[in-house]
Amino acid sequence: MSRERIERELEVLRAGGQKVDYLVGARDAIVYHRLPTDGAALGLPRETDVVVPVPSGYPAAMIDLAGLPVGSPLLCRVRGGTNSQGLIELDGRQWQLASYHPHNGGGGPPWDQTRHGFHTYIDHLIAWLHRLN
Amino acid sequence: MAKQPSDSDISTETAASSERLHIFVNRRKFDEGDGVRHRMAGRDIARLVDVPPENAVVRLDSGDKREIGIDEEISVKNGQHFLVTRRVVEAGNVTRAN
Repeated sequence: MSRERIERELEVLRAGGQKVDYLVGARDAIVYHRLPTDGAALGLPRETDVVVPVPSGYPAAMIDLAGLPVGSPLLCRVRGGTNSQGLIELDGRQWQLASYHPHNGGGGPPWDQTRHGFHTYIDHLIAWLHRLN
Repeated sequence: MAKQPSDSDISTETAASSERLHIFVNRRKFDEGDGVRHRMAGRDIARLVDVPPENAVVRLDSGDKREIGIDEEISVKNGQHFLVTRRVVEAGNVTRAN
């Protein structure tokens, strides 16, 4: 894993006004704050925080999965949301990981560590939050 | 996350950085070197984040958040924010423990 690389990727998003945090814990993860959703018409939140685990072996290992706060009404509406991939706790918050794999059949391109990163993974998170069941 | 810009914010930013046209797509900055032009179609904006036009939904990420057609050409404001999402979003396949 390259901490410096990840920080550079996050800076790209911060320059665009996106708040992102790199949280170190039992399982390192990135938290994307207040991502837009398409939930308003369904009476669901217009924004949500999303967590993405930093894979062991990154960047050779692809970024995968996405999680929402435990209890989020969006969990049962996003792709893979009802197929829990486990819970993680970061900074006192609990998150439930959904079975969402954008670089492996989820609709995105195959993982390419020379082009993709946490700065591009946001594309898949926003798409995920705009394709609600 | 910083608040999304209002029209007045965009105007201010336009005045401050008119020498370098840029927009934000999915919270990332793109400029003329990336293909940003004063007039762009939805497909041009989708291309910035590598989403094929037939699979792309392009929206304004400020103001009324209206959808921009793939073949619809708009006048781009400096500092304007857009969202590009995919029509096809699937859960995908688990291949390994992460």
